[in-house]
Amino acid sequence: MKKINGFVLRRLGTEAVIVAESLDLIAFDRLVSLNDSAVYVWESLNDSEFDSNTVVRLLTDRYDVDEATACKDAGELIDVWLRAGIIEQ
Amino acid sequence: MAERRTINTEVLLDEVRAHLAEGKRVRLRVKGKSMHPFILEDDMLVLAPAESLRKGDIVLARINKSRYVVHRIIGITNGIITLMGDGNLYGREECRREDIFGIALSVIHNGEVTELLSVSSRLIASVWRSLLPFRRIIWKIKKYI
Repeated sequence: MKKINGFVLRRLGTEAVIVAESLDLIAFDRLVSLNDSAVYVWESLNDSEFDSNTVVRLLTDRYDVDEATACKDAGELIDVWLRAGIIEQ
Repeated sequence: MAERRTINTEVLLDEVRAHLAEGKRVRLRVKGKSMHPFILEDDMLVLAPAESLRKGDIVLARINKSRYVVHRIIGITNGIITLMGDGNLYGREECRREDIFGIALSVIHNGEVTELLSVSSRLIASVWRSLLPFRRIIWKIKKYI
């Protein structure tokens, strides 16, 4: 999987959101909010290819979680991001 | 990890305003019904930096340095710009040029795009506005039915 071009992390007040940006249009009509751990994953992924193992590894490296919990969280996060259309297979 | 959150409208519009000031166009989802029937709740609106303004334009403005509105210009006199929501019967706002940050180019309703600056859109809006006294009467009658 990888991030779809044009989706950028922005801070709106205290919230972190993914916004679609092209050269001259910023789309605030379909904001995807991220919590702190999702922000960490999004920023760590950069523009490289990743799979659920990449996300699990990021979570277990940073947080005190067991593998099973990290797998579940990674699956949920990828599912939300796929449905939101900000990453692609 | 993936809970749903809501963004404070003022914070969002501050960000929108910053992008418009940089010369970018912005697309956002409409909240509220004050521009009914031309812009409906949950429609998407495309705004561009406001370079020149005239009566009939729909603009993003900040009123009294506090709340934001997307309403139509109904008058410009001695630097005072009067705005009114198409769906409103009485409420008007006044602001100055520097309080206007963007002009609405188009509205997208269920995937269908309507150009708001076109001659036909302006004409229909002008007819709608001329019907305001009748809309007020109908509203008063409805209150008693």
